[in-house]
Amino acid sequence: MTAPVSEEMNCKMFVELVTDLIEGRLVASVRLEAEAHLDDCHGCTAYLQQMRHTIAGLRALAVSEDFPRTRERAIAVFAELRGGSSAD
Amino acid sequence: MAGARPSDEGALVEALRRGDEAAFAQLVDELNGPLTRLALAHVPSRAVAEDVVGDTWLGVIRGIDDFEGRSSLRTWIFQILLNIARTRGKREKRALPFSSLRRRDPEGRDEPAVEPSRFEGPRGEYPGHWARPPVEWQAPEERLATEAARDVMLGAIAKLPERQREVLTLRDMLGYSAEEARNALDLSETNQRVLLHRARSKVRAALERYFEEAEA
Repeated sequence: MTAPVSEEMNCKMFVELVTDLIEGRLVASVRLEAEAHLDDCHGCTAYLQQMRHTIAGLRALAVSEDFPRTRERAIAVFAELRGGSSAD
Repeated sequence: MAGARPSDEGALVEALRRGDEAAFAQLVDELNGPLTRLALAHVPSRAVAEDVVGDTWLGVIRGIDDFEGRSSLRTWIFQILLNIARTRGKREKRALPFSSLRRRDPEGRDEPAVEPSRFEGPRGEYPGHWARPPVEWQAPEERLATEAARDVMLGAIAKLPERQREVLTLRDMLGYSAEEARNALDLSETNQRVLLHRARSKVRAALERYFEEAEA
């Protein structure tokens, strides 16, 4: 995905580079091309924004999840099968 | 996060082997949520995911004496979970609505991030440029927090091939770094990025449809 591109950057190519761009994994020459493309292209600018919102939305999905039932059970099983020394 | 701390890892393994309950509780606090989330990438319900996590901890408790340190402790635990979750997921597959949606290439290397019809063809005025460009989403933060948007995201995640779902779960939902996700899932750097790219692209496409319908 990060191979330097010989043709001029277009939108179809940009959408395949966007993850590497966000991850900071593009080689410098391709990153500069991608940034130059963004300067001229509203569609790809909106696309990059949408991708960032998608990542934020996914992150928000999982926060505040708590699974107390498995936690207590695991600790009880540990105490039963191996317990003995407690470090408090 | 699943911080790799190789220096204390030996001490932690020793503590677990001698039955140090506080050390085990701390490990559970760190990993229980991520493990449950990852289990949910394979099985259809929270109840089944919790069973998988319970069996995983049991495997850790029973297996810690045989842990050889060939991978990190956390990688070893994630691999136990994935083995149980994948097996259990196959058994439960009939219950999943998306079982028929298997892709030809499970890693999705040949899948475009965006429908090719969104771009101008080779005979267009600007080949490879947007024919129907994406537009800015209105009030994205508020709208992404709604129940409807959450359902869209969860629906898109449910349709992903399993490896893509695993990577997306760790990277984007749990906020793991690329390296942490690679270690947990035992993936190469390239595969990790390809899987993440395909998975995110599909969730974005689903959200784009949702925003377009809402604005239409």
